[in-house]
Amino acid sequence: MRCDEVREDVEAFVLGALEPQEARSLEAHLAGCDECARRVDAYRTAVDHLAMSVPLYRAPARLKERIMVGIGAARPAFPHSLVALRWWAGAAAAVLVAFAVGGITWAVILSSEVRDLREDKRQLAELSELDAEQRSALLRLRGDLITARSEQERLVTTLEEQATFLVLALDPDLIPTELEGTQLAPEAGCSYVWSRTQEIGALTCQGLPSTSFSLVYELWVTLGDETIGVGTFLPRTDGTAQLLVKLPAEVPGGMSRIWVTLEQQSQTGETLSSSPGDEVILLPVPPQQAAR
Amino acid sequence: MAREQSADDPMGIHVASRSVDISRDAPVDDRSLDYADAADDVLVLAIEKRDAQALEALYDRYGDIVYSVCLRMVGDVQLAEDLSQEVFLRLWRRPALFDAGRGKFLTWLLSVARNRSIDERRSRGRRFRHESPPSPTGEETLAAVPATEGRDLAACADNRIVVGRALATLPKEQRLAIQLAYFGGYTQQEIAKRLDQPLGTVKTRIRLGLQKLRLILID
Repeated sequence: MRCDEVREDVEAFVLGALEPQEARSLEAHLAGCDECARRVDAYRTAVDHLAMSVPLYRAPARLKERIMVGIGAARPAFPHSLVALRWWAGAAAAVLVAFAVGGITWAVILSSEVRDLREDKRQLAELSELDAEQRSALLRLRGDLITARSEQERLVTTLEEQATFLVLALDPDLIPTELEGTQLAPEAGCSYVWSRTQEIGALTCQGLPSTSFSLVYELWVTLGDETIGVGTFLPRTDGTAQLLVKLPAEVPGGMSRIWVTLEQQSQTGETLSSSPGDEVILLPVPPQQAAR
Repeated sequence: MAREQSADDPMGIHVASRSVDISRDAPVDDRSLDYADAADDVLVLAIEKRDAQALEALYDRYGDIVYSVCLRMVGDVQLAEDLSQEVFLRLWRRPALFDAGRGKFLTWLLSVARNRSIDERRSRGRRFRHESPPSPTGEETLAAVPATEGRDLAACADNRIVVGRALATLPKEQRLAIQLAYFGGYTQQEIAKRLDQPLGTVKTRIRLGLQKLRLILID
């Protein structure tokens, strides 16, 4: 690979966007070309900072607990007690030496005390070890409980959503609106129903194309003069999706009253688009066609 | 002795942590270590000496942004949590992998988070595009958290603003191509296929976009 060829690909290389074989060839060139290596380093510094552009989310509180449990650190610091123990043992030894100079009798007595002290130390160490094992087991159990609680919360949320869908399905006063895919998603179709009694709308879709990681489907409605994005969703692997929205008023049918677009997630991540984009994916079925 | 890092920062901005002139052989007096204010490098040295409080302090500073990078890349809150845990456990097990002479700690930490997320995406065959979106699932964004509580937000707010503004200056097509490569882990050919654009067009977008970013952030 020549330097001019490297210059063509250096940006993609630093982003990790070259095919593996291309990247290997460029790396081989860099090993023997300081000038190109410096060029790569300059780009790498810029690219390394891109991670900071992500929208910031609060990490779940349990994450910190999981990490501290994972390193076995969610316990009192044992080293301090061991340091103290070593200090006392050292002091006792010093006393022993001093008294040994004074007389054998004292030395015998003190050496006996040192033996006792060493025995105490050994027993203390055993107890500490046992205690540490028990603590460690308890902490592992605690970590498992935290994980289980998180999974339970997720399941409860899912069950609550499914229960709401079931309740809506049994509502005799449902107001339905059918939506069909535009040319961007000709296989897609959705049913939107609104419950007057519960003031909840439910969207059920099938045949939705998968999206890239930075895109999301968004449901829009027009209430009076106002257009509102009421919820975003992604399809499952089989192209189906469900969305529940709290809406206080019925959304009448018609071409502009309720529709679904594909939206880019905003760079800052705090909010999604404030107005619907051009990539319309689903529109209501025209009344005469729906009647047929 | 502490010194401001911004003097040798090519971006001309600084993370709200300090670098210190300290070698790996220098003793760290754990009893006098002020964890909340200690420089990142000092805390990493303390981690080498198995100081769990040092890891906790670094988590308090950067836990949210590490989690956010993982979440951005895999789009799944549970997986992002698992990956973030791996990143910090890796720091605990092998702190010597961070070389203070080669750059800032946060940059290194986020590159570990990104690389681990890319590995995970690849090992799962890139089926994340079908999974839950990060934003509407009830996760609280730090923008809604008071600055006094969002410590890591304060810690890298300057850099985030500069990088965010730099990205915003790029044309949408260039920005999207760079984001697909960087956060999605896609190659140029894959991006061309996904966007239904000629490969040459994607290459040009990436090249021009990154050249402009470099000019803004480095030169």
